[in-house]
Amino acid sequence: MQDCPDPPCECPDPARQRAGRAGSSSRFPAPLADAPGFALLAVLLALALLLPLGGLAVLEARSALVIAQNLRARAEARVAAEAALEWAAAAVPALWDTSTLAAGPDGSSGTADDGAFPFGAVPDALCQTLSCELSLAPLKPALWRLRATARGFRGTAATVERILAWSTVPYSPAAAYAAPGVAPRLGTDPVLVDGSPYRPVDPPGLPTGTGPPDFAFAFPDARSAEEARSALAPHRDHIAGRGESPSVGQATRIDLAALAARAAGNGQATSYEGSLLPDSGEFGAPGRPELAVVEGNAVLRGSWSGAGILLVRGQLEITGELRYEGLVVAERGVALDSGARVSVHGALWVAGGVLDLFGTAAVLACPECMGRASEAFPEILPHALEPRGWREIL
Amino acid sequence: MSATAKRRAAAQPAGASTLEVLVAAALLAVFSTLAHSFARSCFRSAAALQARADAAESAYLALSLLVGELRQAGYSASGNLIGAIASAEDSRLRFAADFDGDGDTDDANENVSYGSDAARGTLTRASGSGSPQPVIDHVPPTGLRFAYFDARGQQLFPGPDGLDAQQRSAVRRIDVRIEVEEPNPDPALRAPIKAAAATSVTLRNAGLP
Repeated sequence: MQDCPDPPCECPDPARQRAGRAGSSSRFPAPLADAPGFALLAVLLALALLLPLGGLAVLEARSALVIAQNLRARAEARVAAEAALEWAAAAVPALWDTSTLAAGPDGSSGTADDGAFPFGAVPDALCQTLSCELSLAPLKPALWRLRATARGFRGTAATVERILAWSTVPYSPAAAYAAPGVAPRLGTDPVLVDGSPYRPVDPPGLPTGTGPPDFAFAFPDARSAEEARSALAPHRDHIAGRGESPSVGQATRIDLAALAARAAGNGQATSYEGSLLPDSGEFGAPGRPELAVVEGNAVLRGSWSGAGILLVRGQLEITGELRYEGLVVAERGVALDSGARVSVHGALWVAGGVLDLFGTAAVLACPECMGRASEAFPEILPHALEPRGWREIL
Repeated sequence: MSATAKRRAAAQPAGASTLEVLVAAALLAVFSTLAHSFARSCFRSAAALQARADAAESAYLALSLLVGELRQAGYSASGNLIGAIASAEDSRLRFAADFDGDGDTDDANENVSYGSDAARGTLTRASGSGSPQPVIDHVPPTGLRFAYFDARGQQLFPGPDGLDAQQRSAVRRIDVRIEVEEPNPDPALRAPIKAAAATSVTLRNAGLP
């Protein structure tokens, strides 16, 4: 800066000096940008104009994002709740009574877990990061409400429920029911496993009963059902019933150990020792059903017949002939030799071991036969909780 | 004039000439016109996007409401399922549920119908015998469509009076499509802004024992 003498002379303004250096003798004033504070003012003005616009854009984007997040959270919660409900419905086994259903997992009324789902917790894989809750409450006699709630993002919750009714008829999911891990095998002899509704007098392939068909084979878990479906695919023409051929499906679990205990402890039971069975004989007759309990393995070499409920506490091996109306239960498997001739109108349940149907066999679903067996021995067969309604609590 | 006065006169700005002011004004006008056009284009695009988003959101929300109610048709808290579908046409559907289990469908939201009001361009919902209430606007006359399918996936085609009783009892799945046509915010464009939402609803209570 040039020093001004005293008395003051005319000191050139620096802006004017710069304008002069630019080589112009312009009559315009020096640029406003050189005025002290003008840049700040300009920026503030620009900000004042742009900030509301930017703020509005951010608010719009944020509200749209929140709406989208809420919609997504709602959808996730609903799907998780539905998955939990489906899992829970499949986890309810066939039961002999419902007196302890409302008592929670501990089975004791008056405790803190009353009303909680008594058959386990929802697998984490179904609900992922969401929190799933199950409850089972009685609505009125023989009617229950199973409810699943999923809670997720920002407290979003979805609740779905299913009405379950205690079936009045004994549970029979298929012509042949097997526990997980039992792999059915069929031979080359003529075999028919049919879930269509037969009557006791109907020959194989000609059912005249009424009602919807059941599965030919049923398992309580999806994996066993899938493996059996693949293994039985070559025999699809001999495995008829509900769904696509081969008719194999997943069904409500049956506690066969509990059934065996009930049958063995029943006062009406007729006990047999498996090793002492004669070559031929009968386990009751159609007009005279019998609750037959065979201890140990049973080998039927000759001609056998029967009606009612036949429980074999070991393996049932048949090399001869068996004609039966009702339910046959084998705790350690069923093995039919290639020369065997077997006809079961009713159902065949296997708790473990093998399920080899190598002889000439017909295992035919017969609701009428099962009904007669249940009528004769009402405490033996379990009943299922059937779905009677679905709703979402909106 | 003294030398000092001359120097002072030369240092003072002389102002802008008329020509310079005119040129500056013309440039400002051109610039302002360009800026206005640009801003108007931006605002119209934003308005069009907003309208499209509104249309999509309207369609989705209406679909969510309809599907949520339709999915549980046939429900009864008494455990005795009722007929899920009361009437079924291409563009109108009435369905029922008995949420309190009292054996009738006269209570609130137990007997619901969805349709469209072509005159007003609205999708309507009616509960019981109440008059239809608008749910969303800007629905074209064919903006609500239903298609009905049985358990085997075969489509059931409504007659002039809709599906008959036998067909209604066979319905297991319903396809729903909702279209919305928002007016175009750009007055130069007559074509409305369209959005559609569609889904397939399995009736959870149909086919249960």
